[in-house]
Amino acid sequence: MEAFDESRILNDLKQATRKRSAFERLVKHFSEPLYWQIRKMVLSHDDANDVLQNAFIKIWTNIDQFRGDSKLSTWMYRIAINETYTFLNKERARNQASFTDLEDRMVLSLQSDPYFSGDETELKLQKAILSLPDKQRLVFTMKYYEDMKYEDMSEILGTSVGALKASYFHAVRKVEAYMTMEESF
Amino acid sequence: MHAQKTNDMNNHKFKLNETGNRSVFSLPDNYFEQLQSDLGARIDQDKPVQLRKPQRFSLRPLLYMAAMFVFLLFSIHFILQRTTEDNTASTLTENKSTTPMTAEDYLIQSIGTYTISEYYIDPELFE
Repeated sequence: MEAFDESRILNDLKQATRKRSAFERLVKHFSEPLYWQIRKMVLSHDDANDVLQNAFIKIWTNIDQFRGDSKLSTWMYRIAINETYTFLNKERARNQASFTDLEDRMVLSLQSDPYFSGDETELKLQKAILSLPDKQRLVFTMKYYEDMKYEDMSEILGTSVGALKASYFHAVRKVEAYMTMEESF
Repeated sequence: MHAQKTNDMNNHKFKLNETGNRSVFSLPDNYFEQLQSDLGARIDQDKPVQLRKPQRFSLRPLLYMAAMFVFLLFSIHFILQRTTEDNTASTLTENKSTTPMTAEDYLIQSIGTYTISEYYIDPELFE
């Protein structure tokens, strides 16, 4: 497998004749980590696919404006996260007329999702994670599922390492309290 | 009873690090290969088409110039027409002033409107 060389890819992306193949290499390298990050936030595979495709199209359209102030991966993560927030906000706006919350609907659709293999406890855990505010949920999923370094998270989210650690600590406490409460009934 | 339940809750505290973070999510086979081709198709579809510049845009300055030319022609025509009319009027006035004065004209001019009004106001005139 060809090693990923960010500076070479960036150089190729600036040349019209090599742009397309460089982008394909970029998609090949980043599609999996970006997919899982989005999927843990939107839960459904179909929604994750839509958000990921939109994020990659944005990356393709705006790659000429990437000035190299940050790492390419950081920039791509930011775009993917923005697309995820946009999706969640749109869904919330669409769901306003409904009596059920978006989070409840997401858990309900997870029960019938062929690409979810969790048991009752896993379903409750997803419910507990969904009870967190969006930013805290993002921090939680990045650390708990992807085991991302706080330094990398700090670059992507523009938040200090200390604040991220505190946010994750509180998120764990909240999720555990929710699960303890659920299991006691 | 309630105290016992609270005690049980404290004894069975849920711990995230004991559950493990196994992935319960899966995805369709060959999803990432399919993603590559789907993205390729979307990029080809979204490619901006170079539109040819319509002809009327290049004709527009000429149209403006023609409109201005017509406006100028009308303006010049109007000004010339007015100048000719003024000349005719002044010529006529000059001609009138050169006509010799008659005896009636002289009398009217010398009497004046004040003198005429005095005839009406002075009652002795009617006696």
